[in-house]
Amino acid sequence: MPIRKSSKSSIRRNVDRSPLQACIAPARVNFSFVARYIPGTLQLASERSEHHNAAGEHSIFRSVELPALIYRWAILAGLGPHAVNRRNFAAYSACFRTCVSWPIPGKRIFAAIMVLPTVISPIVAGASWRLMFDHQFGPVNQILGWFTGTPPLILWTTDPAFVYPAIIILEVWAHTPFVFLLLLAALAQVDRNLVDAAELEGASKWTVFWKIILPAIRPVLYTVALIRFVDLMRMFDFIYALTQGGPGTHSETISLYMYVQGFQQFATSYTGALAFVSIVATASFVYLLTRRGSLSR
Amino acid sequence: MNSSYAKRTAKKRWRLRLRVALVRAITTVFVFPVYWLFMTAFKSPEETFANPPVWFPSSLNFTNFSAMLEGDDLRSIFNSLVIATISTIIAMILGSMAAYSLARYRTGGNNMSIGIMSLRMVPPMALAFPLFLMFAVFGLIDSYPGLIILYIALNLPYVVWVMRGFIEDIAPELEQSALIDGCTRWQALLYVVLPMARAGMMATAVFAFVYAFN
Repeated sequence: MPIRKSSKSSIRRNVDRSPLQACIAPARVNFSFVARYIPGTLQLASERSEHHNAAGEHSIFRSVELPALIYRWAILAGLGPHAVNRRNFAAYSACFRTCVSWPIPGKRIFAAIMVLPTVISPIVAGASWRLMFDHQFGPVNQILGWFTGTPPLILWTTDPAFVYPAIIILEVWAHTPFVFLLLLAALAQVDRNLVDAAELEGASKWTVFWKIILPAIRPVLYTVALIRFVDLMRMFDFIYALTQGGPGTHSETISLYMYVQGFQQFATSYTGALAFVSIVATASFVYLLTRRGSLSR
Repeated sequence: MNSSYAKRTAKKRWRLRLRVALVRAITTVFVFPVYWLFMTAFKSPEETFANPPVWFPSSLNFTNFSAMLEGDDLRSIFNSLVIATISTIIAMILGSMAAYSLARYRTGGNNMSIGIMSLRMVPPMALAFPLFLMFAVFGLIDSYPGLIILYIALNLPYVVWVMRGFIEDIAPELEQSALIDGCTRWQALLYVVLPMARAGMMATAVFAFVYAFN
């Protein structure tokens, strides 16, 4: 079929362009996945009780559980790249541009304050955000109300439509400082002579940024993106504190699922199998990513 | 002072003001949750669960803090500090050396670094149970060495990867000229590479410490 072939090749071209593009691709797919599986979510809850079969054995290759597993991976693959997607990258780069190239009084204090979100322990931060997202006594809806007139009634942590945005907001808030500080350190390493030479030749600030500074910090940029990706794949603390995987199993990640299986249902071997599969899957994805990018030399 | 110069400086000043405003806005957004957390510590229970939310507590309520000082919590903070400091220092030393080797040689082939990273791909829940059994065998449960070893192991992949990025940022020509001038590899690492990667090392160490502390 010619149509199919062309669409396939366009996806390939996207993936070929850069590892970051490859990061975004699953996020695009994810939306269709979510739409398709929302009716299945309720079903999953009943499936979980079936994990204990008569002999107490667990096999992830049982036909009932495989779709559930794929579903969780779809959620993960969607969430992970969200935090490293283009828009956030633009935000990050704007932040560190601000910090490095703009002459602003109190720059150091700004940098010190920006680290605060990461310093707070994840469980505490998650619990704090849970209070903030509350529709009755949380400030988030109130602040939204300043812009819309009346405070909107958004049930951030219990409405399936808003759980993902809530987690993404929390995640971006908590880990922007991490990305920010490491990139700041990378920028401090950039050879000033190169920048000066380019400016002397008449390059604009944007040209200097794209052609000199960005290539110079690329190893750190890729590494940080990769570490964030890997960490998001096994994200646990924030979701546990914020939604505990709810509503239902809508925001359940592989780590939370393992927690439920291993520590609440004591299916130890099943948890081991889950861990094994998740490591293999993440590792092979990272392997592909580094092979396509210029990370491995 | 001609008028065009004055105009230009005025424009510059406006731009600066705009930038400061933008930076303040970003900072406010990021700091607000922290403020809210601290204010919750000072609030009385009624104010915490008030509708609409209370922006400023009417009186500072120190009971939560005095409860903290009276209990055993200070001891646990001290424990965290000791463990985080020691494990960070050791992880930084080991990690920087590994990172240098990975950045400059073909240590362990192409996939060594992914192998190191795979430790970070394991969901923490999957690690907890086997680790507990292992530590029980070695008698390391509830001891400083056990926790320090654990946090070194958990922090190493992160340190190795980030430091590798920072070291790859440095031009290899600098070390080569140091080597030509008679430095050994170790001297090149100590006197050329690490001083240049100082900013990166500090940032890496800060986050390694934070993770161990939390």
